[in-house]
Amino acid sequence: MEQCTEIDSLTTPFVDDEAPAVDRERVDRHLGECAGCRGHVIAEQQAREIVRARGGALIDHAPPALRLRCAAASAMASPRLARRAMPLLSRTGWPMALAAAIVLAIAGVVFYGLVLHPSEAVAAQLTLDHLKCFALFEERSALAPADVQAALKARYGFDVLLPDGEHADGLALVGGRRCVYLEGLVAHLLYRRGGVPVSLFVLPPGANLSHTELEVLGHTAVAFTRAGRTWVVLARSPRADVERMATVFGRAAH
Amino acid sequence: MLRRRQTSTAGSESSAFEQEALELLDRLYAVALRLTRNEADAEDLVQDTYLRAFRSAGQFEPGTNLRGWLFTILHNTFLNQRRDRSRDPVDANSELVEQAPAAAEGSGNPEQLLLRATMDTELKAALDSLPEAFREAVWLRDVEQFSYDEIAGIVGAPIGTVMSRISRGRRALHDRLVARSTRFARRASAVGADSAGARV
Repeated sequence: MEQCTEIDSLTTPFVDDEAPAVDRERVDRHLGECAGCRGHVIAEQQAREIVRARGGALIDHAPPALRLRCAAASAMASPRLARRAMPLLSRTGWPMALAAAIVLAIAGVVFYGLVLHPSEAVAAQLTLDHLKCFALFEERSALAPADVQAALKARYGFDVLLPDGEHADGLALVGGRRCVYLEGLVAHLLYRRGGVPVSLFVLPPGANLSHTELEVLGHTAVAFTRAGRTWVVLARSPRADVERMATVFGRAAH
Repeated sequence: MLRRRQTSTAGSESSAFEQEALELLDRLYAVALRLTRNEADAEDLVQDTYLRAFRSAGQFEPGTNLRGWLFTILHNTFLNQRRDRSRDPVDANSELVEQAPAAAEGSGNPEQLLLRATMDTELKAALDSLPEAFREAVWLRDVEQFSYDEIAGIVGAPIGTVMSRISRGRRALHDRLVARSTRFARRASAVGADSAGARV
């Protein structure tokens, strides 16, 4: 009788019915003489059958929000971002940890916020997206507002008018993307002003904040309405500064 | 990038590539769940996988194995993330796991009970309890039904190692399912005895 160790490496292709005839005969012969190996093969066969029989039911459906996030990933996959963001992700790992924490926090915010304070919940979502996007998706150099406007219009149908040149009051545009909550219909513009990250969100029609000013998670959000949509400016800055930036954006959007 | 995609043939090819890739979302999410055993981590892993895939789309040859390519990216992304987070440092691919005894003893009998009683949730739980290298090998082979060659390419291991992981993974899974079904049968038996006693 062959040694069990010699037969062991043949059992998986044997169970999968992919073993050559000569190996199959060796395994068959050994199993007829060795109860231990026979038990192993039976166990392997049964586990295989169970998993294969239930295979379809084991496939979990991805959450709709993840589908949007992954679709949005294609929009963010420009070579420029690739050069910048990939080392960032792999070097320290903290941005992904941050993103995971933010995702969890968003889930909590949505759950509680929808029940208690919808405006604060939306503001909290925006704040978390502000943090996440600056960690993951900020461009290194300023972008041309006209280019970003055109891209958002062409790709997502977003109509936004952004301040440019002297009208920008020191606001440098460093990113533009679509946020994946509120059915993925939120335009998110990333700015820096004096080094401070500033976000401009344009919410979909019908979505709004009942308060024009909110303070959430250490950030100030100022909302105003233009062209039937709610615009929200958000930064970790004094309220007066955020109001001033909101005025700049409001003039451009008018 | 946006303008290029809107105006060129390469853009439409890119769009088709993205669409085809996104059709595999559920499958990638499912294996990500098995690897991370955590929904939030699985979502991040899948999103990062797509981000990397889209950025590397130029390296993919149309007509070749997109599914295998994406699973390979997911596997490598998972390893990178785990390395970065310094989590579960000895779970996967360790010598201990590779050389672990098959440990099939104790199954003894209840094969029919096993087949009958195994629910999907129990099966997932049993799969999740396997060492990572075994868990991934069994999933890729028996759920995704990749060939040995394809799995070897995805996980970056020799075919012999892949077969060994599948074999040990299946046997360990069997043991866990038998143990669970046996515990379940004992509990059911105890409840039945209690009920009978109450009626008396």
